[in-house]
Amino acid sequence: MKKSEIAPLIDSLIPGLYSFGYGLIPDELQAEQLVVDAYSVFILREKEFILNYEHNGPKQRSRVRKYIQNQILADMLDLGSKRASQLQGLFRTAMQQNHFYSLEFNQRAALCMKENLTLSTSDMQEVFALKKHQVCELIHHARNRLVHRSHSNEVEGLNA
Amino acid sequence: MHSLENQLPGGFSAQVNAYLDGNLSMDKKAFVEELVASNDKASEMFKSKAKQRAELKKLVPNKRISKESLSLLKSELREVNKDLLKDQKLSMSQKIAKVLDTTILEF
Repeated sequence: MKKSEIAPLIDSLIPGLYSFGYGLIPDELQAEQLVVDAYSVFILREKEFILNYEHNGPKQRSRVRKYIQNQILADMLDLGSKRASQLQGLFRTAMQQNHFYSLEFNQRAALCMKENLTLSTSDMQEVFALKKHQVCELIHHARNRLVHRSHSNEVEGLNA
Repeated sequence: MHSLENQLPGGFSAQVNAYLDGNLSMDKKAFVEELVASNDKASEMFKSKAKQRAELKKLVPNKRISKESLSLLKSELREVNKDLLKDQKLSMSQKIAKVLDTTILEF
């Protein structure tokens, strides 16, 4: 792949990656930094692949795009989990505004991938390095927990 | 509702969930659509599940990137490309050293 082909491909991924980063860490600067750092890790690891890969046609191009996206998402997960544990203060504020941030890290990641990035289960398997039934279980629990928390909050609001 | 649940493997509600997630094969998808079109209870359940899913989607934050952040990120990622995707141009002596360093036969 030519260097000039990489930039537009990555540009098209930025909005989704940023939104995912914000789902992991509720802070604009942290989300931006997470994208940059995960991309750097990805480039360092996959430099040879990127420079030597030659694609033929749009089908292969979209396959490469998907591969790159999944790899960067996996790196964001890895980096984000470490940072999230160091930024508890951010979460306390975010939790008061949105129940989503009271979910576990992987549950938030799964919901962002499913609902916002519309990733398939097999893509999510690749990102999480989990088996299909584990991914389905993760999504199921995350959805139930989020709905349950928002409902219990509504009831509390009505009772107050 | 029980007869409806028994019409599809895993139950109708599970199939509707899979349908809404886009995880069904073409024939299973067609079967769900046919059932929803022909059965009032199936149609009711499908609508309720789709509504629940839409409500859930609203609870997941989907932060849109601002124009400034987007252009900043684009330029930062280009910097990363510039720094990390450099072509390593080797001098003649480095090329010879590389060849000499290569193991041809290992005993």
